[in-house]
Amino acid sequence: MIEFHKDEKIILEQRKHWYIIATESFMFAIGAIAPLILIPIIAGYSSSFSSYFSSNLPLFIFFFSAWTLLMWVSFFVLWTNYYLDIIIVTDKRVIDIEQLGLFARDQAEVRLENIQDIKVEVIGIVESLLRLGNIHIQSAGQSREILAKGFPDPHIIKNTIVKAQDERLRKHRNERYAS
Amino acid sequence: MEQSLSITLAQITILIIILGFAVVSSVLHYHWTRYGISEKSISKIKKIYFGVSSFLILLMVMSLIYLIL
Repeated sequence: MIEFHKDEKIILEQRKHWYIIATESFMFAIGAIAPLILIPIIAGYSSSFSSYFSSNLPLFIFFFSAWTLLMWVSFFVLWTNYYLDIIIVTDKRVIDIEQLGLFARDQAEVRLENIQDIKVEVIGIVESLLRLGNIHIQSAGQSREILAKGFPDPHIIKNTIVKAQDERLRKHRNERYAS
Repeated sequence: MEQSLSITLAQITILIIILGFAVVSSVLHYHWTRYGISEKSISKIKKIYFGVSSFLILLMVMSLIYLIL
């Protein structure tokens, strides 16, 4: 759970690109339908398997259901990991949350005034066509950089952060002059 | 002999699967409610997840009953 400050305003909330979950879940879809493809192929080659299959159909239904359930639950674990990965830009900070597994969560944040450099990376044909990429945020006084992987329109996210940072620095300057 | 072995194997499998399903589902439920997914989305996700899972478990139980009988 992210705790925001009382006067903190959320500017942007962005989840990872759908392509990330689509490619990962494709394997589960293949895995789930694999028995439906493999069993008729094997039955076509082996007559003994074919007769065993037809006389033990409930047993095959049982193990197929069990296998599909396993794939189904694994897909939801994957989806949860995908859905909980998020980058949030507020008028004070950038928060990057990475769900690494069901029991591992990495939350990194950097204050806007501490950001030194933002780099956007779009590598690959599919990535260029779908406009998805990585964002590196380098901050002052922190050796570790924030790396947000697989986000859609990374240039828009970068521009939003830069704009929010400019606004934040302007506000700081004005406050300093006023005092 | 072969038939009874298959039934025993199926019974053990269903026990492991139901137990594993219960554990993973409660962990998933914890994540869905804890980490800020909207109430509207959660109810939709729960309906799909538990709906399909219940159907598959029911199919397994029915096949097992058919095997035993």
